[in-house]
Amino acid sequence: MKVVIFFVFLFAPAQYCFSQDSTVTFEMSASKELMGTHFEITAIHSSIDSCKKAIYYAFKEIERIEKFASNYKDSTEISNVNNNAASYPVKVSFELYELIKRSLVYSELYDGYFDISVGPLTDYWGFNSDHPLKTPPDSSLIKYLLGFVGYKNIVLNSNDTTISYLKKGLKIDLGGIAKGYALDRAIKILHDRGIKNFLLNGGGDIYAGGRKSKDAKWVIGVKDPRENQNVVKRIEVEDCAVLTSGDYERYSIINGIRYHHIFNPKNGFPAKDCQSATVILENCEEGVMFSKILFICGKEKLPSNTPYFVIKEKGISDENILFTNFTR
Amino acid sequence: MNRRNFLLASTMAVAAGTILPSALKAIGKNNLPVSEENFSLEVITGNPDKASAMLEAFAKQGNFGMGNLKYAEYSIAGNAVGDIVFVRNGRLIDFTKSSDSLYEGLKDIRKTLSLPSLIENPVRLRLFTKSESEAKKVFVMQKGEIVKQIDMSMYGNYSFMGKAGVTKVNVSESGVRITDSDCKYKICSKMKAITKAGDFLTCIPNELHIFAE
Repeated sequence: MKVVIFFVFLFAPAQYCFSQDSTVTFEMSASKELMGTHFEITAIHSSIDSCKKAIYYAFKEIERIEKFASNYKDSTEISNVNNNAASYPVKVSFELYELIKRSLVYSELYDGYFDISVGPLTDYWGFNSDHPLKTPPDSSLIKYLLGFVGYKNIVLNSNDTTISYLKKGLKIDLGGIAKGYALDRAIKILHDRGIKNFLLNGGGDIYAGGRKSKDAKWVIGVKDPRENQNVVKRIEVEDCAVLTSGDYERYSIINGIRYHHIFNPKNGFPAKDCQSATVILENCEEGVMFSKILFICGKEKLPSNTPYFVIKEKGISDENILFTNFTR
Repeated sequence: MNRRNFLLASTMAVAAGTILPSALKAIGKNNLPVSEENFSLEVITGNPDKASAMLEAFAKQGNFGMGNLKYAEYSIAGNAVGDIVFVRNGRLIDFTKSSDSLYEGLKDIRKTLSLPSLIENPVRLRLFTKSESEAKKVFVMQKGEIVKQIDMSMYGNYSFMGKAGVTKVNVSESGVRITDSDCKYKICSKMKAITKAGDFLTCIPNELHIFAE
C-alpha cells in the first residue's frame, strides 16, 4: 500500500476567473485515513456547502467500501469469507461478489500476475500490517505458502452470490483492487453531487476531475523513488487518473537488500528491476491494477497504448508518454 | 457521527497567513480598492454552519475576482476567543472602524454570531487566497483538532503522543520537520522541513497533522 507518492503542484496563476461568468468559486480540501492509507479530496464549486457535502459523501463511500473489502479489519465481509469459505460457501453482497468476479477476470487476462489470493504471502511479508518482515525471507516457507495461492481455487456461484475456496489456507487480499474501486466510487459521488473540478488522492493514486481553473489543468508530479524531494515527471491531466506503484514507501532493508510490498504472485518475492511504475488512465480500478502489472512484469503485459512511466533499477526511466497533457 | 463531526474529524487543508483575534485592533483603517490580490478572512465561532454561509455570501458580494478562494474548517480543542480577522494584502484590517461598504457584511457576520465572545471548542473557518509567503507558525492537529500552535521562531523540540507512540517535531531556522516517530515506516520523518504557508506534514499511524500558515 502506498502512502504518498505524488506531489500535487498547483501552478494556477494567482488571478483568474474559473467560471465563464466570473462567479466566485471555492476550493476546499479535506483528508482522512481510510483503507490503511491517506485519502485527500480537494473540491471546487461555487458553493461552500456543496463542497462540504460532496467531500463528506465521497469519504463515506470510501468508508463503506472499506467496511466490506478491507483485510485490515477482522469484522469485514471479506474477513468472514477468508475465515469460512474453505468450509462452506459464504454468501456475500452483490457488490463484493462483483468485485471478486472482476478480480478473477483480471487474473485470467494477466496470467495470474494479478492475483487476489495472495493473502498468505502478504501476511508473511507483513508490509500491509504493522509487522513487516525483519529477518531474511525464508525461501522454503515462501514456497510452502505459494501452495495456498491460486485464484483458480476461488469458486463463485452467481445463483446465490456465494464464494467458496477449494483449498484450506487460501486467503483473499483485495489490496490490489479495492482502493481503485473506492476511488472510482468516490469520483461518481463527487460528480453526482455536482462537483466537476476536484482532485482525489488515495495514497498517491490521484484522479484529477475537470480542471484546477479555467486557465490551468491539474498538474501531478511523479516523485523520484530514491530522492523523494525530487520530481522526475510532471503530467497535466483533466478527468484522468495518474496511478503509481512504488517500492519506496513500504519496505524493509535486510542485510542490504530492499524488500518491498509489491511482490510477484508467481514466486512470492518482491518484484525486481523496478522502482516505480505509473500509468495514466480514466478508470482507477484498472489503473491501480495496471500499475502493479507494469511494476511486476514490465510494459509488455499492459494493453497497447496505455500511457506509462517507469523508473527501473538504477534510476533508468522508460515511458510512452509522448506528451504530458491528458484529457479524457 | 453527523456530517459536521465527520468533516471536522477529517483534516482540512490550509495555506496562507493568519493573525490571532487578539491582534484585531492593532491596525487602522483600510483604504484599498475592492479587487485585490490576496486576503485571509478568519472566523472563530461556535456556529460554523451559519458562519460559512455568511462567509460565502460575503465573498460573492465582495466581487474579489480571484477565481478559486480556498476554504478550510478546523475545530479547536479547549476555549478560544471567537472573532473575525480580516487580512488584506498583508494588512490587518480593522473593519469595525471602517466606513467601507464592503465591510458592512463583516460587521453583520460579527453581530449575527455574537462575536467577540469566549467559546468552548469552537470552529475556525478560513477563507483565503493562495499564498507563497513564508510561514509564521505551524498548527499541530490530532484527531481533527488543533492541539498546539508553534511560532516558527520558537526553535526547539516538541513531542506529541499519538496512537502509535511519540512523534518528535523540531523547529529550527531551516523550518519544521518531524525528526522521529514511533511508527513502522517513518515516512513522516523522511519528509523535508516545511517553511511555506500551506505546507504540511502528516504521520498517518500517529494521526498527527502539522500545517504551516
